[in-house]
Amino acid sequence: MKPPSPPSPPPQPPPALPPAPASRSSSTTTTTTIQNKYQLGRLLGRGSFAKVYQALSLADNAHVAIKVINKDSSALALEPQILREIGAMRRLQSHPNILRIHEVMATRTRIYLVMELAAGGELFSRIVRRGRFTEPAARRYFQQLVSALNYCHENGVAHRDVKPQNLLLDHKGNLKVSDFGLSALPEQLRDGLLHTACGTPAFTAPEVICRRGYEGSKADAWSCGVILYMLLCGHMPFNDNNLVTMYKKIHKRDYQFPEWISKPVKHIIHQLLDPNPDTRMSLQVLAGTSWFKKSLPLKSHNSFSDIEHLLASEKDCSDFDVGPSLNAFDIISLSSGLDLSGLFEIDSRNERRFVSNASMEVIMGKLKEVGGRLGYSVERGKGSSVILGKGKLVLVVEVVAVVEKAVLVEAKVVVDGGGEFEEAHWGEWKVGLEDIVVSWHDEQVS
Amino acid sequence: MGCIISKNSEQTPGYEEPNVLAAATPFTAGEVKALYVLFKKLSSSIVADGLIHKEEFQLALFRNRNCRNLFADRIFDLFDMKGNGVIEFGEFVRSLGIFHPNAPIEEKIAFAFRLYDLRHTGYIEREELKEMVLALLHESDLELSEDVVETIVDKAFREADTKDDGRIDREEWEDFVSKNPSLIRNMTLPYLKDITLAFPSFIMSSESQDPQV
Repeated sequence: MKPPSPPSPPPQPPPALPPAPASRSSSTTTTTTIQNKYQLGRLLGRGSFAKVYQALSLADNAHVAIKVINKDSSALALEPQILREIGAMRRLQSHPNILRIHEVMATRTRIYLVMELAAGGELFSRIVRRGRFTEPAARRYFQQLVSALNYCHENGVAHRDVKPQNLLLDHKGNLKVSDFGLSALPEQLRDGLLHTACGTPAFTAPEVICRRGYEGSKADAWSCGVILYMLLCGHMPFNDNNLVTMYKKIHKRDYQFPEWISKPVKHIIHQLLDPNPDTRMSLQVLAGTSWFKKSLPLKSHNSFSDIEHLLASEKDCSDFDVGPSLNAFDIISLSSGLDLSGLFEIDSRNERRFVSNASMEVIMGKLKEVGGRLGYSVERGKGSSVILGKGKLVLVVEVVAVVEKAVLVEAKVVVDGGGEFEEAHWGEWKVGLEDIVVSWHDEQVS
Repeated sequence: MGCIISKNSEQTPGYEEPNVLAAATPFTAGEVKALYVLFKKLSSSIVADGLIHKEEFQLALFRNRNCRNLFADRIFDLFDMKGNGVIEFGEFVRSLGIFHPNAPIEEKIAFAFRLYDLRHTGYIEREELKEMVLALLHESDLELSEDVVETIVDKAFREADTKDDGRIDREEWEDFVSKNPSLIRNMTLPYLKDITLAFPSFIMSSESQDPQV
């Protein structure tokens, strides 16, 4: 693809010029173009093994952020973590409060992670400017943070490194959680990005500091307690130049609330900062509290809306309304042999189909009934589809009338929360739907 | 250090340079390298010879190496451009290029036409369409009477065969698809847009020239 030329063309260096020495300061005005796709702009932040630049995507003139990692010896050792970070970000793409990753590129000496640009910068530079937030403003950021983290946990990813530097804002002031997988990095490299937090463990749950085995989602909940405190108070709950003193304070939950903090918030922070992960409030429980739910926008916290969003984007080329009678080519295009997505999902395709001779209404009714009985939440999806949710699982069932008296029903696990949806679950459904099924497609073994 | 080893392993039959393939497809060179990671997995699932055999293709699509399917056979045959019974890396990338969301729609329409022209006559004939409908019904365990099948096929021909000569030619197909864009929805794979994120391990062995940073 030939990218269109940039709008205000800073002349490209002629190709005959020898490449300038690498890692020169960005103060020069020459432009750098990466693989003819992105034009590097100003430096946003730097760390010991990576730099983050603003950049312009030449294909669509969109602003992005590019994290540039040098492939020197330390980065080679980090290969598994870098790949893990990419994998985690990719799985979490569809949440509005998680920084998106667009693509990765590489040259002989560098790796480029092309990401969404959080034009609003760090959330905490606003605290520094303004002192602290009002309760409604703090709650809004906090709701977005918890929504993002809950989404991560539902998808089997714990952030484990929730701290102010990783909470960014987009140009509309919406929170974007960034830096996934980096938490798994060795301690000395942990603060590789942007400015470091002087290495204080002030945001890290006590059980993580003690290096005991720990549950990532509970560790994230503890960090959320610190963040909420900071949003409202303008300073950290535990802060001491002497680390031992600080650890002691953390273990004793020794911190003070300013008098303007409301009672429900005190209660929530107290439960989040519980040093014992077993009795600490989980983010799911938190999300159910009335303080948290107050003025929560109805859609943004609901993972179903994200799923619908995902489904909509997956099908962006097929705005067709599945009418009661398809033409012959529509029918043959349903063949599983024409669905090449299996090539890309080497490990996880989880769907079943069956044929029914009941009417659409009967099938939809039955799906709701059985779903309800098996403990799923049931929502009407796009067109003739039903979205079923249970814990971490999200199942989408689409009903397609092939001809009269023959209806194809396709059930797909959209979010499996860690491969838990197995034969036993399908078994429950098979028993439940018995009355309306003529045959299950997967049983035709040839 | 791993460079020399990876260079050698890339000399599988049908391997083509990423830059060459990138120039011929909607993919970037980086995306071609990510596809190579995928290709290596697919082509070694049964026999590690750097070629995708039909059984390996079926295994990837259906989780079953012996699952025969008329449509999967057609796709395999079209991917196997040289017709030597295996899919080489270059064939794989060039064919998947057609499925890229940014590929020209004309290519998608043409690919679908060749797919459904079972006997390579240059036309989609009534018999071919009927055979495909029957295959899909069989695949889905649907039994419909002969009459119903005839009706379905007739209806499609009434709509598509505007010249009314009992077969659908290229031009009729293009018109028909432009009125029913859903017919080529299988010809687009959204996955291809974030292929570098799905198979990122190419980044460590990448040998591309550095830009100046």
